Amino acid sequence: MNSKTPTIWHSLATVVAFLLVACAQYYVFMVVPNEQVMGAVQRVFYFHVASALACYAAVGVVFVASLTYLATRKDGADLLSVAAGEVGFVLCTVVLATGMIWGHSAWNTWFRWEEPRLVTFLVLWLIFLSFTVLRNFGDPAKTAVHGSVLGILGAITVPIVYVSIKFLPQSARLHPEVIERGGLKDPSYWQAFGLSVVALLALSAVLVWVRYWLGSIEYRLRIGCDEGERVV
Amino acid sequence: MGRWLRVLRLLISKEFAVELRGKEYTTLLFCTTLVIGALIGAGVSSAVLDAATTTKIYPMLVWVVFLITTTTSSARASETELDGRGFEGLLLAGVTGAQLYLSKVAVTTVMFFITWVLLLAVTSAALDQTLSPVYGTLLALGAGAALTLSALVVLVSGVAGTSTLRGVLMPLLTLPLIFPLFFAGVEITTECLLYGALTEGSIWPGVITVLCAAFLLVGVNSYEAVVKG
Repeated sequence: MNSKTPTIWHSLATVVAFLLVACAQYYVFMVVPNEQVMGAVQRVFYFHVASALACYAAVGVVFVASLTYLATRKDGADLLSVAAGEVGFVLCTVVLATGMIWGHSAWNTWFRWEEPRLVTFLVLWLIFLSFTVLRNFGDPAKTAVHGSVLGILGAITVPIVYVSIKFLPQSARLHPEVIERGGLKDPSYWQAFGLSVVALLALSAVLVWVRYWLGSIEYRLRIGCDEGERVV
Repeated sequence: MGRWLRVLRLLISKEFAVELRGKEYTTLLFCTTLVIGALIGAGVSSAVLDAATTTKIYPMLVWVVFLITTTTSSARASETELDGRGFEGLLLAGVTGAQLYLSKVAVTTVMFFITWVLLLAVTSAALDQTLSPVYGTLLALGAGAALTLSALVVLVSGVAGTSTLRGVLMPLLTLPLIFPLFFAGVEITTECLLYGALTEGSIWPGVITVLCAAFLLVGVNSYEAVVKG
């Protein structure tokens, strides 16, 4: 990636991402019929699952970028890790918030500690929070290395958290397994779901790029680079 | 390999000598354990719970106290070397990051294990729990947990040690990463207290082993980068 002023392609990608989000919203709220049991609240599913997938993608980017930074010490990898970490934190917040809205309607409670995916996302949210705090309050001379190590530790802990909660004896498996059990019978459900996933992934990619670009500007100001000089 | 192990042994001796001379970390760790253990005992007894309920919540209480006291007290684990630039000196003398890391993990594991034993003694007395039939299993669990926790804490203390928020950052960075250890610890302790032994085929020792291996792997390979920056 390049730290120069955004090109027409960057602007185009941003417009496309926002158009996809608008289309997804139209589909979810105007086209898809109400689900029989849950009613209108079920529509939160499209943003909840799509945000969760984008969040997992962000964890993957943090992991790869952190490993790359530790191996090569290229500042671009560090900037990418910061950008993906912050966007992942926002996505994780969206997943938790929408999950709680759904949970309050379905289970009459905001949070279930027996539910593996909810607890995994809470832990993931806490890891992203600590990652963000470290980036802001760590030793400035060592933040890049420290953030990368924390990124790797967080990424390898998340699957262990998920597996360990699944084995808890009181785990009631309340979380709906819509995709696994072949749900979404109406074709419009699938179209809305697919569109939401693509829209959220595109929006996340654009947000990561914007944060990367801002990070590269901060970096150039810090080291006193000339405008237009490449960071990587 | 012989030389590598000899250097490691010397580093472990140095770590113990430094700790026994200052005793700051030991004092902080043990006093916090005693104070929080006593507070928990007083709090639970004030709720006037029946014996069965107290036994049910005992594993959770012990693990919460253990994890909080160890992580909050460990902000100083690498402080001497980080402040006095001791790491640079040792690295220049040819000591590897892996040796430094493993020596600190060894000493911290011993400290955490003693803390665990102390905690079991304090809380079992305060909450009237009979642990003698399962003491062997709980000690083995404590050893595994102490190693896993110290593998993470030593690495994170290198990260948090140079931050302006060092005391606050340590638990904030460590606690989210040890949720699997918390779940495994509570489940094993509950199985021991309710059934008198670890259930056959229990997956929890495996969870602790995997977590410990992952933390040690990351620590051995990245500790030098963490302290050098």
